[in-house]
Amino acid sequence: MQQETAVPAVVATHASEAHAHHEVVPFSKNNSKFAMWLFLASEVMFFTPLIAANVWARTVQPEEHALLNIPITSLNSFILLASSYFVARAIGAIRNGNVIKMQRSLVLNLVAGLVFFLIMMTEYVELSHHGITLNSGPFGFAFFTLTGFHGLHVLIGCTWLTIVLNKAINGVYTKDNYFGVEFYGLYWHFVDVVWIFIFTIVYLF
Amino acid sequence: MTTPETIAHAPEHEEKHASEGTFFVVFGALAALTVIELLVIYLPGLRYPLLIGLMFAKAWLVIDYFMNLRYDNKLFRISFLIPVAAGVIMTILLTPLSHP
Repeated sequence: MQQETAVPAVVATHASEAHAHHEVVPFSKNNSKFAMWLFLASEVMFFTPLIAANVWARTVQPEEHALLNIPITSLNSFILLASSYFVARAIGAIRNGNVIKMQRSLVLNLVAGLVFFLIMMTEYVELSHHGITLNSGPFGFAFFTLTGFHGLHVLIGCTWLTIVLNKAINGVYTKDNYFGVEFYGLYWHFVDVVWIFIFTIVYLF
Repeated sequence: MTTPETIAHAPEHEEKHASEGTFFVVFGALAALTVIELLVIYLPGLRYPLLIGLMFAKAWLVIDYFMNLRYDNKLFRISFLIPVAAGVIMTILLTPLSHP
């Protein structure tokens, strides 16, 4: 019984000492990043079956796979890779204390993300003109489910980026305080990694 | 006043990370690898193994350099790469390469 009560007492003592000396939790940033990596790992398990379903659907309906627009999708791949670079550049810039360069890089990131999404929508319209829709068969269902969820992740990323960009413009991030950008960057880069797999496996195979 | 932002960026161990120049080189490599991917699809015999290799090379560049996993805690790498490995094995088993 004494042991059960002793543990909270020790914790409380340490907490009050930390508060008294204005200490900060030393591992909070790493904990947040670890949580993000675990979330991204769960996202891997979400996207993997969808990609595998596309591989299977392609063998069932190869004629529909042949209608995919490789040139326009390749352009979209370059745009998403560039968007990922802009995030990395924004983080690199703020690490060096260059706030303006960070802000510009984040704006370019947002533009690239939105252009990627718009081009994806034009691809959807083009495919629908060929009769490929969510209900047209296994290929359409697998393709639109996978790319639709990826597009949703892009939109979520753009929304998150709008918040980050707003903070960046309002001077929240500095050379010594830019974790918000770094944290968002992990998510956006992951969306890019997923697209690398989708582009190769779904479009180029 | 202590905000979540200031707590999150508390002084920790000295962090290592890639430089801005490295980011640009990585972006150039990613673009080059994508171009090579587009050329490889015209090589029927080597198409699948080369595409898989290029795809992983691109993903590795983004994860290791842009996402800073190369310099971050090893636990992050383990927690992320185990499900990636499981997913990759499952997907490869379903590719045309596995069913010639």
